[in-house]
Amino acid sequence: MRKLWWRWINRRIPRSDEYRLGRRNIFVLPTREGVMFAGLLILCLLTGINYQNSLIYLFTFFLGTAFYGTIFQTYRNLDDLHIAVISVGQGVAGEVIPLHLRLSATDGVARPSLLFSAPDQSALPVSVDEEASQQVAVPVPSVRRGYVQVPPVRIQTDFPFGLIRAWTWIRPQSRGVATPRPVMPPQAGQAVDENSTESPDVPVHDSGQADIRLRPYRVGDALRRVSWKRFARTGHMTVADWDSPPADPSWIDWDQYPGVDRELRLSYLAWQVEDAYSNERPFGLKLPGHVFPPELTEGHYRSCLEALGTFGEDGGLS
Amino acid sequence: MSVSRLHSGSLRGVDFWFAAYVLILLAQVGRLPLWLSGFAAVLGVLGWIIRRQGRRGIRGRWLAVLALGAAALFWVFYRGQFTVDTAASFLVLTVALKWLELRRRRDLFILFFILCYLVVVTLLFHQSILWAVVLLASLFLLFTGLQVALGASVSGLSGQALRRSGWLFLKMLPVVAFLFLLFPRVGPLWSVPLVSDQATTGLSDEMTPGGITSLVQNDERAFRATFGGEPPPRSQRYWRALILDRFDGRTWSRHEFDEREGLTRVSESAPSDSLEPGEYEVLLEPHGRRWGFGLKDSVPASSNVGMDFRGLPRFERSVDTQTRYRMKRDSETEPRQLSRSGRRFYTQLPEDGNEETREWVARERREAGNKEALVRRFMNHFREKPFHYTLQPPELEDNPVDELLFETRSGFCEHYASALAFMLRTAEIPARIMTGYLGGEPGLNNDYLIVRQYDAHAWVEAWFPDRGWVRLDPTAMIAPERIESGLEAAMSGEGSFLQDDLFSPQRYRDIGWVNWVSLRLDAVNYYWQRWVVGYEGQTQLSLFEKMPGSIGFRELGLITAGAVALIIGAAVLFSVVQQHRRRFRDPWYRLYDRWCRWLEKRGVCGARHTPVSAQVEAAVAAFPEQAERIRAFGSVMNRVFYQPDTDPGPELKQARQLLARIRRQTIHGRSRTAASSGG
Repeated sequence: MRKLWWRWINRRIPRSDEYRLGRRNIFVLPTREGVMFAGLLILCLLTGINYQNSLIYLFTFFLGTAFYGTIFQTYRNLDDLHIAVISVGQGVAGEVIPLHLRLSATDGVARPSLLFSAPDQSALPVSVDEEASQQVAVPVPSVRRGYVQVPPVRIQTDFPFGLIRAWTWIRPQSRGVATPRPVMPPQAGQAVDENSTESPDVPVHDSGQADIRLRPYRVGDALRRVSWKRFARTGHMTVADWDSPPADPSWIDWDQYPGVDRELRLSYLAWQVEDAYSNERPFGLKLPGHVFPPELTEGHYRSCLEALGTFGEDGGLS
Repeated sequence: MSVSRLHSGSLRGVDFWFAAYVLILLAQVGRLPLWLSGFAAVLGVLGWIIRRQGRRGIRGRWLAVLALGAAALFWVFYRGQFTVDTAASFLVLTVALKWLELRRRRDLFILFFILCYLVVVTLLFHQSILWAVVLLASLFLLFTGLQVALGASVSGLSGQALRRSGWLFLKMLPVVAFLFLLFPRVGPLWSVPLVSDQATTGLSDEMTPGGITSLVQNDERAFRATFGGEPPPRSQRYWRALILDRFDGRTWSRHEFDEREGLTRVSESAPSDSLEPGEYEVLLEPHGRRWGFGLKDSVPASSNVGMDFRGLPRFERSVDTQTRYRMKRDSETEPRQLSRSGRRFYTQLPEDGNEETREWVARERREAGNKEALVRRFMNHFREKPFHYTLQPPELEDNPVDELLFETRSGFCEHYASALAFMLRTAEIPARIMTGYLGGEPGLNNDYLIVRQYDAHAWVEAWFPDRGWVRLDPTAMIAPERIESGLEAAMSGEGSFLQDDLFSPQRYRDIGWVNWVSLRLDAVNYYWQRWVVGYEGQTQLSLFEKMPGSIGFRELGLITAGAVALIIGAAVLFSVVQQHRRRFRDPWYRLYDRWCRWLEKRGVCGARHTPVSAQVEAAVAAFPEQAERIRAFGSVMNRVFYQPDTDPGPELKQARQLLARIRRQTIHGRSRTAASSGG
């Protein structure tokens, strides 16, 4: 039964990155309070009948038609809302991944009290203004490493009276990436020690770091490159500059862990990437079939993680 | 819904409810016992203060103690009475307590539902235009408050919410009117009594000297009457209600008693088609008793009123809401015979007391000879001796009849009626006191009569074997102007008409505009009562009988169902059309859509996201013989879409024609094109 229902829904709402809500994809039913309100209407009608009270009839009809009108008001709160998927973000497997959406009310009518929720996630309340479009990040769950097909995200509203609920699902086409859950490799402690002596934090007297030049801070320099230890000591902002690649970048290598299970190996690599990036060590990643040359930028970090996340998947690195 | 705890902003919406609650409480306050109104007011204010402080309620333990205390007090006060009155009071109590506990979404809705139902129940007690409007306003506030409470995170919602619920109510008004007219008013099922004990003003079923006098200071409406044809003259408009046939020397009381009512059906109201000559209609204000008012010798003409064995109108239930019934003037309704025991009953008097009167009556009786002459002598006595008609009679002591006849000689109708009945009974003529109303002033355009409490009157009926019960009114002998032109005229010398009621519009009737306004107000209320409040089963049927075809409740039900389906259908259609229009407001987009559909139908690169130029190339490939037109169309479209600055107005028609021609041509050459597009 449930399966049939979902099959029907999926047919009605094809996967897409852009939705304009309308008759095809909005569903409307009374809420529990709405059902209770219908009961109240019957009670009022019975009172009117039993006491032959015309005014009670009149007021019951007022209540009843207000209820009826609410169906349209609630429906209109979703109708013609434009939803575009901006991107599906990255996240660690098993945790949530942000789904970035842009909402715009192109007809110039505000859409208050919308609730966005992915399965098993707490709902995100959103109100769309009449003028500006708005961006929201809906948390969606990820189960395992790899591409994440976003589950149907439910958008519902019971505005204005909470008696009627209108809802829809969006099923984004874009996929997110769940990166491997980092696991500290067994020999990591040693590796860290080895590397930390060469870290750019204490570069001045170290001959091995000849290519790292220190120069005063200029506006526009990445804060990450400021040598904070030095700043604490001297009070001058000093920047470590690598115009050329560091002499001994640390390579994170697939072949470092021979014989280890693939998933675990990816987790180890992910840990190393995280570790290197958070310690501001330039790193390169060697995967079978692909090599990421050493760098220390956010883009590099992300693409490395993505490569680890999609490793072995269709469309990812193999 | 996972968001079940309320935001503190929700409580802003509750303030709207608080306003609604104040309105409802105003409507209820006359009915509620003092302690309950006080309790409701105090808890309401307390709840308001708690909300001001941003809290959501008081501790559960305190609430329980408060609730138990209130429930106990309630039980002690009402003690097992089960009427709508008590039920409504209980609702007030619940709402009052609920103000102190608004923690979750559920609490909000419970409060909302109870308040809604309380509004509806209040209509059982108030049906005037004013209260209907006030209660509708409170319903409106309830809906607005619900919006604000639920959408609390949205800033600046209050104004929007007001506008939104205003529109909602306004837009639905035709539907409401429609349903109101057409919804079949089926007969009542059963109902518990509306009120437990009544404190409304009106006739009492006992008469002690002074009783009616107090009523006479009251200008509330007792009922309104409409006559088919000419109304009888004022002096003949004796509205009979009660027979007081037992006398204990001081008080006249009723022999018959109304049995206690249990679960009964509220009877359907009278039809409202035009009145036959000889018929009349009474729109009775609620007085909480079971008697009605009728002229002598009239029989019920509507099903909601009955007649007791002495020919007086009676209802099955206490009249606790406005009731409209019809009577028809007929021949004698009371059997013209009086059994021996009946004679004894109607001549019963206390053993002693009022000795002077007894001796006087015996003397007169010897002189008069027969009974008719004796009655004439009695009436003449009232006319000739200097009796004085006053609203401020001196107190009467142990022998009230003696004192009235021979000492004070001043009193009001009840005093004189009581004295005459005593005299008649002493002379062994069966006699009884009738109470009811006399007269009534015309309403707007003489459409109906208004009978007010100060028209209350008491008179006497005496039995003559060949004539039956005959009306004798001693007041008519003493103050004929009371009969002919009403109380105000009778009291003009004394100035005691409505003397305690400084603000009564009746008191200033001789000021032109006061009278003008008050007559019109009354007329508005009258028609409201008759056509809106009184729009019940019979009225509805009589309205629809005038239409062609026989329309009964069943047909009405079908019509209503059909109409509701129609309304729903129309609304759906409207929204579809609106959506369509909105999406295709741009004529160029419409044209583009038509073009894309044509491509899809012909199986030429269906996807709409390919650019126009690519679409054109694909189309040319499929229909080489149309290449020229297709390219021309494509260039126009391209220009329009990619150079929005140029004004493409005149080209629209050209492009439309091009597309139309392309489509027509390709339909003719379908077989060819199918082959080529396949390749």
